[in-house]
Order: sequence, then structure tokens, then C-alpha cells
Amino acid sequence: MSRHNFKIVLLGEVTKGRVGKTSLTLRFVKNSFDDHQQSTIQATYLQKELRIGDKTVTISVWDTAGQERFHALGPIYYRNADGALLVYDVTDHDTFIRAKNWVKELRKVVGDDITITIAGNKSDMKNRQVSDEEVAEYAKSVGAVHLHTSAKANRNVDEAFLDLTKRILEKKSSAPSRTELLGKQNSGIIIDNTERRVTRTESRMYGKNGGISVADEPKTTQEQKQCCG
Amino acid sequence: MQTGSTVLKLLEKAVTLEENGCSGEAYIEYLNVVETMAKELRQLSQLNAHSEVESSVVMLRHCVDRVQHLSKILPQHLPSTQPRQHTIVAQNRKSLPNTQNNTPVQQTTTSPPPRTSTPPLVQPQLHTSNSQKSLRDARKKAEEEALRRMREQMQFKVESDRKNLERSKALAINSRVEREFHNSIKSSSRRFKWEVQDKWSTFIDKYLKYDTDVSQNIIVADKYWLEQLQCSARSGRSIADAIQTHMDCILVDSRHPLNDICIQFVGQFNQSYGSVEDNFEEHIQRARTEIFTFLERLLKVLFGKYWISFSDHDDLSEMLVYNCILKHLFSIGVYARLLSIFKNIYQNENHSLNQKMLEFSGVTCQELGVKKLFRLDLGYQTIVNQLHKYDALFTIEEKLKLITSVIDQISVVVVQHYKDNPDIKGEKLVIGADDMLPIFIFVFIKSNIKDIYAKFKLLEYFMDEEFSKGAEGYAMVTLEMAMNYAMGLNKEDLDPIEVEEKVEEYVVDEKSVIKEHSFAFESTSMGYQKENSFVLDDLMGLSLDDADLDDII
Repeated sequence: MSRHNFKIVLLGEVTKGRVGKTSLTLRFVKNSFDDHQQSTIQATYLQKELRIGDKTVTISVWDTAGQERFHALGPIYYRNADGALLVYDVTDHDTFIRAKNWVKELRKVVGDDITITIAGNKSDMKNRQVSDEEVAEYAKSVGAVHLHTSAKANRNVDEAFLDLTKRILEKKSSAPSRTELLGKQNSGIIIDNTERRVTRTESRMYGKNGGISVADEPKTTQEQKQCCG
Repeated sequence: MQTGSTVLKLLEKAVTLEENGCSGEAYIEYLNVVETMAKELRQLSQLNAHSEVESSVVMLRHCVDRVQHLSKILPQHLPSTQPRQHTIVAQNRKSLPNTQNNTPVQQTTTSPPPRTSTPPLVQPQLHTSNSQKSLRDARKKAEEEALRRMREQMQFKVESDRKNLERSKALAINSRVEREFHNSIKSSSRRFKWEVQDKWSTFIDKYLKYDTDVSQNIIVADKYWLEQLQCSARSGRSIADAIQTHMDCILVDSRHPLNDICIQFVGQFNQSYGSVEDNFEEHIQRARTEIFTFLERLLKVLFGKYWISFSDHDDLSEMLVYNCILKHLFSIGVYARLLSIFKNIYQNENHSLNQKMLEFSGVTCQELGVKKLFRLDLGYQTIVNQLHKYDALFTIEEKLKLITSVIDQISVVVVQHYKDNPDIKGEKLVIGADDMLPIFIFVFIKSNIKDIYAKFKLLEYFMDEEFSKGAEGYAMVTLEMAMNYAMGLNKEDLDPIEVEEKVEEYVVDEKSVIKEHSFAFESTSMGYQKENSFVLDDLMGLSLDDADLDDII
């Protein structure tokens, strides 16, 4: 069974109010909402393990600061991100405009490697300012998926994260994995005439120093054949 | 072993005799067993057959006990054994002149003489002949003397066997260590060769003197440690502490070869990078490669050659050992040397950040945009103090752990604040990145760690990639955000101090109190009611207890 670790950044504007990034994370990871939580909690970095088919995926959800004053520093957050959940408030059109800008920035900094989901949060509220057609058309044009979510009503929260994770997994599966690449580089590491797994130390070294190994001199030709096939 | 079966036969015979009430004969047989076993023990000790020696000693002790027991009770049993005694005595009477010089065992074929308390049976014989009496006396003396010597010999044997046992145990340990551990190093079938012979493989060959010049105690200690690790690993217990403790001990032990090779490495490292004046980036890259190459090869030799008995170790154990050595290298000079190079590379950034941190040392949470509920300027001092420990740590892991814990501490401080002040609403808060980042920036600026930019870059450069997506990675990104924000910070970026907001806040808090008072005004004079509406603005920070409402109005 293969294991994966994906980094997902949560992006959303903080202007007049809040779009609900942190609430979405909390609902997804801890299945709780502000109204029901027991005490003060920090929800800046949360991890959750998911089973998708025969694969175990650990997703690390990175909450980001959405204030205007930190916009210029955004790329520090996106670095090495596998996916992004762009959150806007369906009752505030400005937040959707800002979400569009996030997409532009993400594509500029990370390129097409990043998988994007756009979440229209607070969908339980009636006074919507963003039309479904507008957002659906936009999402399609940037290769993203759009979902209406509500952390409060627990609507489409799990679906948003699961769909994003599945799409990241699909994208990663189609591209050669880092492990596969490492495996090619590390073939031939033999110690004590027994093939060993590549250790963290070794994996750290390979690619920097090339193959280095210390090997026993084989006792007999027959023995070597038996061990190494 | 031949003697083993002989002993068993003799012992069986002795036991049977004793059970049948033939104490005298049993006594003799036990003595035979003791003698045979003593011989056997000597042979076993020479062969280092530790377990056999141990079981033989147990058996020997039992036999000696039986001999001692029988020697005490034998005179009392004489009446019952008398008929047989006669026969034996009669036989011995004939052979005695020729058997004077026989072995003690043979000499003691008769029991001690009967007590005077049993005269009816013995006396008729005693009166038969004087020569028989003197003969009996002589035999009695000879038997007593033989018995005394036998006891002495047995005691000596037991004592020497005990010493032999201890010696054989020590020999067995040493020989096992030598056979399985030390000798395997020298064995021709385990000749190692470097596939790539270069500077560091030569260095390790030269300075890692594990198979020579090393105290046997060091090797034995390492051996037992490895055995302990194997046992722990098999039983599923955590081996992290055991590895950490042992490695910490041996790395500072001047007798251990690892201590020596680390010192040699740092010496050479300092020599290579002591006077770097240009091409800093290139030097850093080379320095990192050299550290990792050295460590990787050292581990290969340790686990592949010397610590081969721990061959079923997992990657985690190897990684823990790796981290311990890396930590040691960093603490004895590598970190300081690397930092000096990083300071050279990032001197502009360091200078700028140092200045900004000094300039904004008096900044408040409110100026940095921290949400009202989290403006606990003094409360965060404990986190600032915690961050001050950064310079006292040497390893990448420790520093990363510190930054991660600083972020976690923010919510702890907030929780504690609202716990200590239950009258203030805010016990159920969610701290997201929007709230946490400005607080962290506040803590970061207040910590005023000198040259933090270079220190951060060093940390980032040596941080394991595996951490980059975890909590440690998030902590590093938060620190980077804080550094970059602080570097670009200007006075106009700060939120203005909200005096009005303070008053407003005050008003909200005190509204309920005013309401009560206004009810009083209402009851006394309806005319005052309208004027009371602007009274609140005039309070300007005074508490209602301090202010005399009548004066203000």
C-alpha cells in the first residue's frame, strides 16, 4: 500500500469580514464549528489521513494569513504546495474577485503543478452576491473545480477536500514519482551482500554525491549468486 | 561426556543406597561422586562450558551436603548397619595391612566406630581380642583423618569451582565478543572495500580506530548496547532513548573512537572553512556535501562493519545515530563555522533585519494588526523568552522543534489568559493564520535575535526535506513570513494607536453599569436623561468608581 503526503494551502481574503477558511479546516479535520467547540484552539496547521482506494494519503492543511498586508509574501506559503483551496464568501462579491487574483498568482508562482478548488463558503446564507453561472464559468476556464460549501451547515466540506485530494493524486500518478526517480538513482546499493532499502540518510545523499557504497567482498561466487540473485 | 555418565551412575547408586538405609555405603558412593565430579569440573572449566559447569556445581553441592549429612548421622545408624559392618570390617581386616596407602575414598570404606551408647552389640567383639581393638582404633584414626582431609579438599574444590565459574563466565563473554564482534572485523571473509575511495573514505580509514587501540570495555559496552537494541526492537519497545543515551555518552568519551574521529573531522573542517573570504555559496555547498558525505560513510562503516551484530536495524535507528553524530559535530564547532559563512552571505539582510527589530522593539500587538481578543502584549513575554533559547541550541532538529513549539504556545497563552480572567468573554476562540501570524510577528520582533536571517537560512539549508510539508515546515514558513514582513516594515505600515477605540471598548464594557445609573437619573429627574448620552464620551478612560458622575454632569 502506497503512502502520500500532500500539502494543501487555504487561501481567502480578509477584508470586511472573514470568508471562513479556518472554519472549513476545523469542520473537515475535527468535524466542529465555532458554535460547538469546547475551548480555544489553534487551527493554523492540521493534518488528516485519508484512504483513497488502496492508497493512504496524509493531507497537511496550511491555513494562510489573508490580510492585505501579507499579500506580497503569499508565495512563501504556496511553495511546494500540491493543492490550493480558494475560499470566497458567497455573500461578498469582492472576496470572489480576490479569489480570482489568488488563482493568477498561484499559476504565476507554482505553475500548473498545483491543483485548485474554489469553494464558495457560507452557502447556507440567503443573500448571495456571486452567481453560480459566473463562478462555474470562471472555474472551468482556469482548470479548477467549484463547490458551494458551508462550514456551519457542514455542507460539501468533506467533498471539497476529498475531491481536491483525489485530483492531486491523479495528477501525481500520471507523473513519475520522486520515489521512482530515486529508485533509479539508488539501484546497486548493496551492503553485506543483501539489498537494503534506501535510508533517509542515503536518500538525502543521492543526487548530491552519486552512488557510494561499502561492500563485503563476496565469500564465494555461489554465495553471491544466492544472495543477490 | 564419558565422565558425566559415570557421575550419574555413581550418583544413582548413592541415592539408591541412601534410600535403602545403607548410609555407610551411600556415604562412600557420594564421596566417589564428589571426586569424579571435581575432575569433570576441571575439564569443563578448561573448555569454557559455562552452562555445564554451573549445573555440575549445583550437583556437587548437593553431594557434599549429603556427605556432610551422612557423616553426622552415620554413628546413630550403626546398629542397623552392624551386620554389614561386620562383613566389611572382616574383609578390611584381611586387606588392611596392604591398603594403608590407598586413596581416601578407599580408606573410608568403613564407618566411624560405634558410640558407647550401643555397647550390647559392639562390646562382645571388643573383648574378643586386644589386637582387634588396636586395629580398630588405628583404622578409626585413619578414617577420621581421611574424612577431615576430604572435607578440606571438598571445601577447597567448591571454592575453586566457584572462582572458576566466575572466570569462565568472564572468559565466555570476552571470547564471544571477540568471536562475534572483534574477530569479525579482522576476519578475512569480511574484508571491506570502498567502492569510491576518496578524501573521506581515506579519512575514516585513517582515524576510525575501532578494531585497534580500543579498550575492551568500550567494545563490550557497545556490544551490550547493540544487543539491548536488538531485544528492544524485537519486543517492539522504543529504542530512540537507548540510542540517544548511548550515543551521547560515547561521543563525549575521549576513549571512544567516535569521539576521536569527530574531533578530527571538526579540526579538518575548521581548517578548510576557517578563512573563507569569497565564493561563500560555493563553500557552503561544499561544506554541506562534506558533512553529509563524512556522516554517510561513517554510518556505512559503523553499521556495515563494526556494528554488524545489529544488522537487522531499521532505518530509524540508523537515522537516530546519524542525528546524534550530526548534533555532536554541530555542537563542537561545525555550527559556529557554518554560521560565520552564512553571516557573510546574508550580511545585508542581517543588518537590515537587526535594525528593524531594534527600531520596532517597542511595537504593540495592536499596531501589528493583532485582533482585539488576542492583544496580550505582556502575556506573550513567556513565548519571547522561549524564542531566546534559539541560540543555545545547536542542532537543526532542536531549533526546528523550538520554532514549532513557539507557534503552539500562542494558543496556550491565549487559553491561559482567558482562564485566568473568566469574566472576559473569549474562552471559545479559533486561532487561524489570520490571527496567529501577526501575533508571531510581534513575538519575533520582541525576541530581537541577532543575525536571525543568517541563522534561519542555515536552518533551512540543513533541514530535512521530509519536514518541509509538516508542522516544522509550517513553522519555518511562518518564521520566514515574519522575517520578511519585519524587514519591509515602516512606521506608516503600523496601525494607528486607537485611543478612541479604547474608549469605545470601555463604553461597551460599562454600558450595563451606566444603564443602572440612568435608571436612577430617570427616577430622580427626567431632564437629565438626554444629557446623560454624552457623559460617556467625557469619561475618557476613568472608571465609574473613580469618576463622580455628578461632577461631570
